[in-house]
This record gives sequence, C-alpha cells and structure tokens, in this order.
Amino acid sequence: MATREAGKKMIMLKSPDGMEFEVEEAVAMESQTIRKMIEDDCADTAILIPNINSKILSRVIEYCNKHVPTTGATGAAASDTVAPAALAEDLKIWDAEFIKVNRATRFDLIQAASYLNIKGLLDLTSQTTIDTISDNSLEEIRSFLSTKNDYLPEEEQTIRRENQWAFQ
Amino acid sequence: MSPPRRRRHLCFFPSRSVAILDAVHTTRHRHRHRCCWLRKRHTAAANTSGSKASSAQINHHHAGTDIPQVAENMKQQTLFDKLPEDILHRIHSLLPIQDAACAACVSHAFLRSWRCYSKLILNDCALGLNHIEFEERKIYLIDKVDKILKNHHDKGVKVETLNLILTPCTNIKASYLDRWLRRTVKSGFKDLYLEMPLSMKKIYKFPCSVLSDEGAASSIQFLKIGSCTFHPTSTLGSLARLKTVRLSFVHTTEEGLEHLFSKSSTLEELRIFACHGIICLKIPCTMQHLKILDVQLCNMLRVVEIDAPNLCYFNYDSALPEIYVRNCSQLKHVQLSSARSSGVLFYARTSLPSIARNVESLILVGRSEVCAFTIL
Repeated sequence: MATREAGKKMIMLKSPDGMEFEVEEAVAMESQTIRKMIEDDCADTAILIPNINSKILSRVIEYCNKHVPTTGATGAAASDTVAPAALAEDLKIWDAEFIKVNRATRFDLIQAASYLNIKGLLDLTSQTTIDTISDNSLEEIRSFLSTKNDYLPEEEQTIRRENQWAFQ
Repeated sequence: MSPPRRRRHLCFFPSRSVAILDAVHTTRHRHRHRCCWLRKRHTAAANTSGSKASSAQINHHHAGTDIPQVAENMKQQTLFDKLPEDILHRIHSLLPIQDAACAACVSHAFLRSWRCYSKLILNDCALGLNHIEFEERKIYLIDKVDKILKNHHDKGVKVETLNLILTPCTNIKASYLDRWLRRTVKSGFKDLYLEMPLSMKKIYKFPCSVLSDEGAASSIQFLKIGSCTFHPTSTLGSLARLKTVRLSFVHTTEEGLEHLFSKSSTLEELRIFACHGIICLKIPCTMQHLKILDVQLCNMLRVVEIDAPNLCYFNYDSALPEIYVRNCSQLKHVQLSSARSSGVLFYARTSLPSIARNVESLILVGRSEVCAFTIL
C-alpha cells in the first residue's frame, strides 16, 4: 500500500512467499517495471512481485537502495561533499562485494533484474557471469553454468567445424 | 536426427565420442603461439575421454571437485537452463567474438544465441592475433574475418554492427572487402566502422553501392570509415536514420560529400579528419538535425559554408579558411585552432562577430600573436 513516511512516499512490495517490503517509491522506481506500474496508477495496493522469492527480493531492494540517485535534502548534502568520481568508485566497490554470491543466487538475481528491468543490476550480474566463463574450456563453462551438453556427437562436431577458427 | 532430451542431472566431463577428439585433433596449430585459454580449451576437450586425473590439471577450480561440489551443481543444474533465452542472448552478446563462437559449442541454447550474435567486433586483438608478429597478422586476420562473415551470411545471421579494423592488412584485395561489406551491410544494419591501413587510402574505393540498397540505407545509424577512397554518388539510398559520420584519412571530394549530405537529413554529428581532397565544405540547410561539426587537419580546405540551422558546436583545426555561417542562432560553442599559422586572434576579431553572434564558449588556439584590441 502506498503510504507516506517522513515526507517520502512508500511502496509495499510483496514476494510470492508472503513477505512484504516497504520501500521508498524512488527506490522501487529503480525498477522500470515497477516505475511503469506506479506511473500507470497500478500501485495503490501492495505490488506482488511474482517469481522472485523474499531472499532475492530483499537483495534486489538492497541494490536499489544503494543505487537510487541521491536527491532531496540529505542527498544534496551528500553530493555536495563527495565528488562524483569518488561516489562512482564507492559504488563499484560496493557492487563487487554485493555480487559475491553463489551461482544459484546470481542466476536468480539475473532473472529478477531482467523481470524488474533494472539495467544496472542486469549489467552487473551479466558481466560477472561473463567474467566467470571467459577464458575457460567448454566443459568448464558447462560446469560453471551447470548446463548440459545436449549435442549429439556429430552435431557438436559440425558446430566445432563451423567455428574451428575460434579454436585456432 | 533430433538432439537427445535434456536430463536433469549434471554430468561432469561426460564421456564423449571419439569424434570430438578427432575434431579437436584436426584443429591444427596454424601458428606456434596460442592463447592460454585456447590451450585450456583443448586440454579440457581431451578430458572428454573421462580422465579425472587430467581434469584436475585443467583448472584449480576443479582440483578439489568433490561430492558436495557435485551435489551443489546437481541442485543448480537447471538454474541456467531455466534462464529465458533473451537473457542468455544478452550474456552471450557480451562475450568477445572468439569466446562467443567457442561458447556456441556448449549447448543448443548457446548455438541459438550464436545465430543472433549481431555485433561483430573484428580486429587482431578480438581474434586473438595480437601476439603474432605484426607483419604476419594479416594472413590470419583476413582468413578469420572471411570465415566469420561467410558463416554468418550462410546461416542468415543479421549483422547490426561491423567494427572492422584492418590496419595490419596492407595490400588486402579489394574483392575481399567488397564481398564482406556486401554480405554484411543489409537491411537492419546499424553501425559500420571500417579502418584500413593508411597505405590503402587511395587504393581501396569504398563500395558506396552497398548503401544504394534502400533497406541498408534506411537502417544505418553510424558510419565511420578510415583510410580509403569514398565517393558517394546520386545512387545512394535515403539514409533516414544516419546520426553520425566520421571520416578520417579518407580521400573524398566536395561533390561526393554533397551527395552524402543530400541523403543525410537526420545527421547529428559530422567529424572530418585529415581528408585532404576537400577544398570547399558546404553543409546544406537540409541538415536540420546537425549539432556537431568537427573539421581537423583538412589542409586543402579553403571555404566552409554552414547552413545547418541547429548547429551548436563547431570545432575547426587547420589553416584558417573563409567561414560563412548563414544561420548561427544556435551556434553556442566554437573552437578555432591553427597551430601552424598565427592570426587566430585577428581572424576571431574580424570574422567571428558575423558567424557566431550567440556564442557562449569560444576557444582559440594558435601561435603567439601580437595584438591590441578589445576582444568581442
């Protein structure tokens, strides 16, 4: 339910497992999906976020909280005293810590970022996955991604032949 | 034959057919140097015979592969496979092209993603050739680029971006380049960045006919070409989405540029660097969206006529020409540089008031100059 707390409009987000999270509207609107719902006046009651459990949703909110632009009274004060470059560096360090999660959580975060359309989080999770699989063998990639080789031997041979230049 | 159904259990280094090993073994070393990770690929492929001992050699990550690790992976087995394919495509598209091509061999899902890999950044670094002697690179570079563009063309993959840096390829045959561009620049194509060796500046003529096709012409947004001859003609299609043109070390003429500009009414940014064939540069009033004009080191240039009504930024760095600006109401930022000759201040004093009445920032760069006047 949309409420007000200390002058800030609050939004209630609800996970499928019944947990409710009250967050500032500005934080929730880091998600373009939620932003559209709010702008279309579909957010009068609690917004149910399907397919994202409370554990992942809380991490997503944590990310949005950190990345919401610092505006308003306190924000203006913060940006007056801290250089933008230093803020960006601080965020980068924070992101690197934030994404130190196991693969299951990372894949859930990717899906959540995609569904909620949070570009920064999608970039972060995607790039971390890329960093994980770059410079590795096919079997290592399959292992890291926990994905199975579903090629028939002759199919794999064909695609390897097609892309033989990449193995040279 | 249809692929086998996916099972829900992860198989670490499953036993694969000898055929794979054959495929790997037929991958002959075309040169002695190889990237570390490519070597790892081969090592790991050899593991498909099922040798656990050698799997431990591949990567320290797996040195301690144990039951809890396997169990964790079994639990997570479906997680990545469950990701929507658009997310897989996104992740795949972030991989450099050589890694992306290898990843196509991971699974059918990756292969489908590879068939949508539309941003081709092809240079000696991206293709793993930067460790080869510069003089020897061109053979491998041409060979790989040819294979990639042929494969993409044969499989019907639509290319949106072609970033082709061919600086090591001195004396490359024009027929290769023409074929690559004709295969790639089609309807839906967006960005072209072609960089040739400087020696090809007067030898290779950019095939402007690829932009005669209305589909390709109407989709291209970014055109950056370097070190070739560029002579657009009246047969150019309407470049209805073209936003940026950058020409560097390009041999062109005002007539060619006139044809280009007449079809580029949406152009927002025009940068011309070291194009010595231009004597008179005319920016027509039809270029309503042009905001940035940057002209540097065009030593033959004598006259610049600007009629673009919304030009905001003008940078000029060369011997000072005659500059005419018909509608300068939006021109806010001007930079004039003429490092080789003095007279910038005098030029600014006498000419600027008529060409940049609303200027907000003005930067003048020149040799030391004695002057005595009240500036503007």
